[in-house]
Amino acid sequence: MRSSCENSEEECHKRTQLLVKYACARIESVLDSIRQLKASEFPYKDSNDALCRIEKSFQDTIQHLSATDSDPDYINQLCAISLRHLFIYIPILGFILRSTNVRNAFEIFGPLRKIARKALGPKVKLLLSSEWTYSPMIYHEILALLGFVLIGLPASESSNPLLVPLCGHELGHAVWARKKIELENIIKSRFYENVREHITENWQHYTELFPSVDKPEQLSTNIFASTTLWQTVLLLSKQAEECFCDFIGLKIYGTAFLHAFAYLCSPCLSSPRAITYPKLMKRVYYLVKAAKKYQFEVPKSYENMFENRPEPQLASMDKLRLSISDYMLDKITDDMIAKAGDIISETNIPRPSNEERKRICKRFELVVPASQCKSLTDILNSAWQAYHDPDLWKKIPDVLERKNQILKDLVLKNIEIFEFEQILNGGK
Amino acid sequence: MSTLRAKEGETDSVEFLPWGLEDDLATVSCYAAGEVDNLIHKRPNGFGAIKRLRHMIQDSLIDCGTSASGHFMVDPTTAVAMNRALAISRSVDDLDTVEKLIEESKQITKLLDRVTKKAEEGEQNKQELEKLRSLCLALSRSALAFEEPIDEVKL
Repeated sequence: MRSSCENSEEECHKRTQLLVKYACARIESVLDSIRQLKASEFPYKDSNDALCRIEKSFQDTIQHLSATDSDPDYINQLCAISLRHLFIYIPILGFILRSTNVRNAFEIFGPLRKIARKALGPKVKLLLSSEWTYSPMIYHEILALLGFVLIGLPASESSNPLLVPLCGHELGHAVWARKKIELENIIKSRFYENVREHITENWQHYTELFPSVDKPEQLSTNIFASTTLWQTVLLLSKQAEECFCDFIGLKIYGTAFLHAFAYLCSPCLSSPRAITYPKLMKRVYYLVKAAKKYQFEVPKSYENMFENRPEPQLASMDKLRLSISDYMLDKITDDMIAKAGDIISETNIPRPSNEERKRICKRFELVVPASQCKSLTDILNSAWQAYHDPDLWKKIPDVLERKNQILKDLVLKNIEIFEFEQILNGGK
Repeated sequence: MSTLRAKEGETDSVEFLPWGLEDDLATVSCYAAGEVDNLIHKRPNGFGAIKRLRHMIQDSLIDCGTSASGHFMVDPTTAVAMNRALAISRSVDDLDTVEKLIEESKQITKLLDRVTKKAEEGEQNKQELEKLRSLCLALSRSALAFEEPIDEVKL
């Protein structure tokens, strides 16, 4: 909406004053809510720190609004921007509140934050919450919360430790944000290396959609042609980011990530595919390729667990962009696999150990947790091995009857012991 | 959303967060318009946003270089936003090449430099400032072109 001061100067002034009054009142209401939330009990300080950061930012916004008796167009835009901030931050306040809910498996918080800090830096803060949406999620690049990682798990699974490896994918988004410029430059250079050839091969189709572009050479100079390519680069970047995050999760958690991914995603979601993700079969193919590169065992017939989601109905231009993006993704996944592998290898996140997995499994067979574990990853890989072991607890019928629940409790207890031992050892 | 992003290690630094919620192109451009407006009304009150905006344009459009195939490696979101903003504010004729867009972006960074320098020297060209304010507002409106739409307030 453009502002308005087509009417008299007095009317215009009144309108502007009212806009500011409403905008300030809306933010004051949010600040009141934040003050109430701060009275909650927080099991971890990070949630409270996030609230303080958001509170400070909204206080600054009020200052900007209060200090203006300026150009009506400027005030109009300032009020619109502050309204946008409310839409962005109110859900995050809900997330912070839910991070205090006892539905969360607080046992996993400490070990997960350690991994996040090894990957992203020693001062990174973590918020972990159970969310009423089925997809694990992360809030991307929340500007008031730079340095915070916010991971949500579906409420029905938030106390299931077997799905913790999926947090590795979400952590990958935070790694991506940190390395975005470098990673996007790789994508852009690979894209431009290959796009002209691809479009030239489909030139007739391209010119039907973009008749003002006369020849392939114009793809790099004509602003209209470039704009369509830029939009495709953005789409490709989003697809590449999802693959990169899979590779980060895989590199941290090894085979356990593949099991958790299959648990949540197989065979596929029956609704049309989201275009910002690769086709599911491609995604799985890349995962298997990365697992081989990282030398992790791939579960037998893993790819057969999945199928592609239906393709969405798109307008011709979007269809073209998607087809280019799908084609280009093949050209950059090797780079993404290598980059994700290098990034995690450069941290001191422990690599999964087969010996440790076997040792911990032996303890699980006795329905007791293992002591002196070396990493969260080993516990989770043991958990998945136990989950798939048809003979586990066969001789203990009472336990076998409630195998899944007992296994989850046992794993959570093991993670708690692991964390406790780490604290006793000075966090080493 | 185009943002100035944290480089490694920078998220630990308070200095990286002077803008809190507002470190995206849409908001920085809007605040820059406010600072230009202050200059028009002869009540200068800092140039943090103008300098930030200049830095964003320089990083996302001017310093990006070209690929081996001759494509400009610009940040797509900022490029589209700038192209639209220039058209909306009508400060230039319609651009038909990426080279011209980058050239115009360079002119804008020079203008942003000039405005802060002249403010320190106490002299300003009001017309030039008004033109810059319009451009900043147009950039603020165009900057979210690729952001996923937020639902309307459902009443």
